[in-house]
This record gives sequence, structure tokens and C-alpha cells, in this order.
Amino acid sequence: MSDSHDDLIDSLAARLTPTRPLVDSRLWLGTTFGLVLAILYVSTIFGIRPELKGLWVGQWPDAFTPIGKPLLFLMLGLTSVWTVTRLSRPDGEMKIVYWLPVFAALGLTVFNMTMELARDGWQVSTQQLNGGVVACFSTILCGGLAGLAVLWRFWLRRAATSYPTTLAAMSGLMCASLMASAYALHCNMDAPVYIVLIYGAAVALFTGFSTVAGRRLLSW
Amino acid sequence: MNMESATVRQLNSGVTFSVMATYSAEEWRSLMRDAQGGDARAYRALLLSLRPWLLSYFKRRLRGGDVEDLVQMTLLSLHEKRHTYDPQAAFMPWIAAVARHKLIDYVRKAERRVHIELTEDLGLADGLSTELAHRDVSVLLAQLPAEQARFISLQRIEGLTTDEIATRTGKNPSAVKVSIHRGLKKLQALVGIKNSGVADE
Repeated sequence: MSDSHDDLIDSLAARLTPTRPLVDSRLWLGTTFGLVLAILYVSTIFGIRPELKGLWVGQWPDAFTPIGKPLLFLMLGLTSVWTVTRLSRPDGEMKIVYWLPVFAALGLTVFNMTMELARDGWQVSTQQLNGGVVACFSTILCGGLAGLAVLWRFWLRRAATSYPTTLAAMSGLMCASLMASAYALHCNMDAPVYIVLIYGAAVALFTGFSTVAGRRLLSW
Repeated sequence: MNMESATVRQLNSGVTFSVMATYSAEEWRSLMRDAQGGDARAYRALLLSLRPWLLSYFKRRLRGGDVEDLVQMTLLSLHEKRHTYDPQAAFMPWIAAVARHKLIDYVRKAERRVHIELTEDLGLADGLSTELAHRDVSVLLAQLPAEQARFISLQRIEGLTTDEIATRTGKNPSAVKVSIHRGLKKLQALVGIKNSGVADE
């Protein structure tokens, strides 16, 4: 059996080529580039909401939500990028801290939605779901899919994770959240019920899709 | 050069044998860096040097499996995924993770009986650091609910009896015993073992 090992080792050494190690900064650079493209797409096709345009001339919006909504998904997306970099190598450790931003974002939005429902009731609150649902859903899903395809091509297929399901989920969460943050620059639907049921559902749906599709693809 | 050695003892099919594996983590790291740059001679030296370590690593964990096959598969994976090694990082955590991943993958596919050692001594015997040896155990325990993992950890790692665990955690001794039994069965199921007996104590 040692002979077969020697043969294998000789064979592997004979076909060795220089390899470019996975470098986290490249993923961050690619993510930044992708996010800029997504923002350009949203601003060109849909336009940026007036409250955010006002920021350029020093006008602070009356409410924080126009800023907080994109920031919420941006924070979620960026922490997902960080998690993806941590889990892409065999020795990447699974830590609860990776999920804390997810729980925090979920807790914050669900809490606000519950308060809104308690104050206004279901009938009044759900009236705020009318508007831009198709655009929101299709932008997050299609944009997320494009991002995930690029992420697969340049990063995930080179990864070797010990946690394929979590890495697949985090990759989906990353792409959908960043696309949601770009779309939120346009969207003026600020009701918590909208953020949870429309944005949240689109991001959750995409994350679920990525998890199911990716867990096998990431096996090695 | 920081030379480390590991004396490996394994009880396999009633036969006790020992293997002496001598290696240098720093040397491996240096060879791996050169290999990533395309140095075939360094790469060959690295693979030749890794082979006995991998053999001993798998022999102590796999009962009744083809360890030689597993070593070959690990060497192939190392080759295919060599770009995932971060040249700035330590080499041992990386190669230990690759070996552990291939072991679990092999056991799942082959439905082999695997020797699950919930003790850090096993990892230490492989020359892993205390932290890495602890991680090998915690990777398995993390698959279980927190309380169940704690019971098993207290029994298998800290060496407490069922009654001592019950006293410390304020739980019923019978419940602790059942929880440990079920937890160990679940761990075995997770790595592909079917219908194997689990000793509670």
C-alpha cells in the first residue's frame, strides 16, 4: 500500500501548479463592487427616495427609518460576508456570534411590528403592505441570485468548509441582504409590518433556497 | 526548528500497536507555503511527511475501515483544496480539519463503525495543541442540545459519575443517565453508525 501512496504522492507533486490562496480582502473588494453595481441599478431603474437625496444637501430626514432600513440590511449583509470568510476554510470555526446580527435584526423588526400591530390593529397595519411588493420581491430575489452566481463562480466553488449548510445559508443571506439594502434606498414603505413581511420574507426565501441548493454543492 | 513527536497507541481488533510519528508543524507550514507557490519538491516532501501522521490519526479513530484509502482521499483533498490554506495561519488546525472532514465523510458514506473518543487526550496524542484537541471534541458535542452536551462533557471529559453530574446540575440521576445515553447514540448516528451499542458508563 505504501507503493500506491508513493505513486499518488509522485503524481500529485508532478502535476502541482502554483495556486492563488483564498484571500478575504478579495471577497470584501468583490462585495463592495457588487453593492455599488446594485445601488447603481436601483438608482437608475427606480430612483433614490427623496429623504436620502436630501442628505446630500445636509437635510436630515424627520424619521430615522429611511436611513435605518438600508443600514439594517447592510449590517446584516456585511456580517454575513464576514461569516462567509470565516467558514470558507476547513479550519473555520462555527461560532454563535455569527448568528447574533441575524437574531438582533429579527428581534428588532419583529418587536417594532408587534408594537405597530398592537397600536393600529391588523386591518390598519396590513393596509401598509400595498405598494411595491412585486418590485421589492423580484429585485431582492433576482439581484440576490445574480450575486450568488458571481459569489459561487469566484469564491464558493473554491471553498472547503466544514459547515456546508451554514455557509450556504450565510451566502444566501449575504446576497439577499445586500440587495435588500440597495433596494431600500428607493423604497419608501417604512412600516415595520412591511419590512418584516415583505423584505423579511424575500430575504428568508432566498436564504432558504441558497441553503437547500448550496449544502450539497459545497460538499467536498 | 520546533520538533514535536507523538507516540500513538491504538487498540484495534484486539491488537495493540504503536506508531511513532515525528513531525514539525513549522516545517510543514513552510513546505505548504512553498507548495502553494508551485515548488514540487517541497510539496512532495510535505506529503511524504504527512502520510505517517495521517495514518496514525485515522487508525486511532476508525475501527474496521480502510485507513490507507482514507489517507489517499485526504491527500487528494489536500491537493484539490490547497488554496484554502492561509499562508499567514498555523498549518496544524488546517490539516487537522481536513483530516476530520474526510473521516466524517468516509464514515457517513461507508457506514463504518467509528471509534468516537470524547477525550482530548486523543487529539493531544496526534500532536495537536490543547485548543485543537478540545475543538475536535466540541465539534462533536456542538451537534447536541446544550444540556445534553454538558452532561456528556462532564462525564466523558471531566470524569464525573452520573450521581455527581446530577448533584452538580440539580437534575434527576435517571434523567442524566438517559440523556447521556441518547446523546451518545445521536453522536454515533451523526457520523453514520447504525445499531451500535453505547455504554453509559
